[in-house]
Amino acid sequence: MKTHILLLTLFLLTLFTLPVLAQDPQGDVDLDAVNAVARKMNCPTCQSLNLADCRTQTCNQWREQIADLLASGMTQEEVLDWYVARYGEEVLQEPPKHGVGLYVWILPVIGFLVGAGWLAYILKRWSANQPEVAVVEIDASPEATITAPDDDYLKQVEQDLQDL
Amino acid sequence: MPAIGYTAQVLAFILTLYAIVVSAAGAKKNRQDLVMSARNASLGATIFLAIAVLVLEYLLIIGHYQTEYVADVTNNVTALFYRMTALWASQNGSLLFFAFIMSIFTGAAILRKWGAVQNLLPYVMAVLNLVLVFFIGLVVTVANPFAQLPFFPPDGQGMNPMLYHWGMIIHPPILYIGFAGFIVPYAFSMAALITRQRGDLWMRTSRRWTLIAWLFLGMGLLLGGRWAYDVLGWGGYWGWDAVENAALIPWLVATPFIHSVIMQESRGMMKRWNVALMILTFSLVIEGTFLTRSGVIGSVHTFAQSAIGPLFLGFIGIMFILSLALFVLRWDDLSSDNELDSLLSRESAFLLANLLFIALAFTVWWGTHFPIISEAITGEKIVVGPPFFMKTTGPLFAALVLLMGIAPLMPWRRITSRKLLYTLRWPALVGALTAAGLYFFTWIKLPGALMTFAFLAFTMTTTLLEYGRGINARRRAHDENALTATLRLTARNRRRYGGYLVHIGVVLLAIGIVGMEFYQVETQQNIDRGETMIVSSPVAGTYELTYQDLGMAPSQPGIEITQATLTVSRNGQVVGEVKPYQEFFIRQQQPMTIPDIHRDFMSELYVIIAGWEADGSSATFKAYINPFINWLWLGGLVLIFGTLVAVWPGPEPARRRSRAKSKTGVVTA
Repeated sequence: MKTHILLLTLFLLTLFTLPVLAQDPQGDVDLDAVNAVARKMNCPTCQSLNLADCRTQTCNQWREQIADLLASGMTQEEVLDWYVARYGEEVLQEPPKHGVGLYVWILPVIGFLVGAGWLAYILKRWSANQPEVAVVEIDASPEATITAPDDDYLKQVEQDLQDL
Repeated sequence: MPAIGYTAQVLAFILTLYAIVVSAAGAKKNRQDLVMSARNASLGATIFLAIAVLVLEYLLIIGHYQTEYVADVTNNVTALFYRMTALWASQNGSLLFFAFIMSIFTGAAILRKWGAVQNLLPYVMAVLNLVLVFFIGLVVTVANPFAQLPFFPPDGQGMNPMLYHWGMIIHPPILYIGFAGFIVPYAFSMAALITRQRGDLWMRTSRRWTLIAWLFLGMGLLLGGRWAYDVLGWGGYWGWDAVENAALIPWLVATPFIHSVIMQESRGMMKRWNVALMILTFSLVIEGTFLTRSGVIGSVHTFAQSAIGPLFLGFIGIMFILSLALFVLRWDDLSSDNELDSLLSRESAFLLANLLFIALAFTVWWGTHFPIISEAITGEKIVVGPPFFMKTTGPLFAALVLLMGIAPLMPWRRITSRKLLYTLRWPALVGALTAAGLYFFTWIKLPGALMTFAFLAFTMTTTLLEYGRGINARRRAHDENALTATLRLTARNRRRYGGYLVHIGVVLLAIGIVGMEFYQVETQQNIDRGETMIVSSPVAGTYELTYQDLGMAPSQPGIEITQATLTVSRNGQVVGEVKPYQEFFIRQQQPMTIPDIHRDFMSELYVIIAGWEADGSSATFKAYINPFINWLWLGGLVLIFGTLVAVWPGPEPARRRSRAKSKTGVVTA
């Protein structure tokens, strides 16, 4: 039994790590159609690449399987559904918009809305505190500049006076 | 020899602990001698870490395979250069290297002229060493790079094949500098909170450090992108991989920080917000190191799986909670000096930018962590791939680009909507004309692309107008020619005009991103020797690739290279050859598909070999046409240059003082 498991492990290991020395090129398959499907799926062994970009042996086999499914007359959508039915939604690059997957989509939106609401609240509170007089255009005339003195300038002058 | 390295680490650890305790005691009892003692201990720690790094380098170079780390990352055929860079090729070495870089920052910060902020020194020192001691603690205990094997293996494993590239060699150190650099502004912010500093002194003092860290973080991201493009062979520059995101998220928080710092300096506002952003940035930096190093999220980069995860998580938790507690305790000290004068003002534009950046950071953080979170809570691991990130961040990035064009034209305090619209009339016109011109005269027709290009043209116009206004003013006042005026204007106000250069860099970079995201074309075909495959795109026309030959190419020992030769014709004319190849790393049994690129400024033809018949009679190629990709790299260079302009120490303070003096003179007269 143990040797069986060992052999199986070895077999799987070699399977996953074998180089692409002799990928069986299938003459008249439309590889772009295969990639169009594969791009929407995850590489089953490594997580961050999509199936179209991954060059491991396993991914080559999956792509060949996609080619076969397409050749059997299935549409791209049907092929994707076929994989989802077998392996679950984990095979898809894009997280599902229902069930647990919904949260990944919805929370950024909620977060943004909460942030925007908070910002609106702060802006409103701050600007509501303004005294009436402050609504003078500072760039209108030299007189206006006097009614709304430049804080930074005053601060600088005060500081320099202290420094003297 | 390994014993020396390990001893040096231990000594650095002890000195760092000593520095924490003694600087805290010195601060409490207000004793300068204790502070000086802590200072020397802290500098000593830097020196001992340098010794540890040198010893590890030595072991790597001589191939001391009894040292486990050396055996893991090098072997007998590893070239000298890669032996040296193997210091950061795997976990334990890179943690030591990271601690060393961090200690250089602590050392440099301690050695600066303290002058007016002398009272902050012991606190800054305590915080710096508190963070540092954690990383040294890791390499002393669970991640010791000097751990020995019970026997002396004749050969080692060798480095991860993906790391054999110049981008991968300099990308980690640069990213580490970016990450580690934020320790200085963080320590200053904490010291200011502890000592109840109300002003913006901590920010002004650490401003240059922040910008340098920000610059290196940005360069690290760019280099990572370039490496992915040149080596990984999937035709892109950014894969929304967890480790890439781990570096992007702190950048997305540090960027609004370096902006709203200006608001605190000019208007005395956003004090709480800025402290919060700094705490968040640094926590995310440490969390980024955690994500990269703990192997918690499987990804192409994460070649590290070990027990340091829980330690890291504990440290992040403690650091974050302590910082937050201090922040809340000092809440009332950080009240704003000024209120908002108007909803239409530069202040409100800055606030909006903050919202967009934080929303971006949160979205990327959430998407990156969702697989672990969903697995922990529901047991179901949901994969969050690039489509999620593109759909959610795209609109936010576009909005930021637009805001980048409006904000510089908004004055502080208030502007009327009539005046704002008047100011924006030219940029808006240029933006609209750009979209119309592209639509009617070029192949760019997609609404998303047209809109983004209009935004970019708008922002570019605003930024150039800002430059133009300054230059004209100088030319009138000083009778200078345009070039002198430009140079002097920038030199006299480096921060502002350096900042605008960065904005121009971002616009150029975004042109590349829009081109790639909307108009990249790819095809994969299996062709016989002598046959031709076609790939075409409106930006480049039609390329014909004719498969000529397949053969082995000379290479370094331990790597087998199979290379194909294809002739490239563009619109019927032969323009060159491409030779994509596959490297096969014999020892690791791992293939790497390296693209060959036919370069042209406006677009690049990117070809990889995806498979072949053993006799070479036929082979499969994947060809991409990448529009505007070079704008991305160019924009990156402009961004770096602009940041350097802003960071470069200039005559500004002296000039400001003299101007202020003369003003004072007028007042007193």
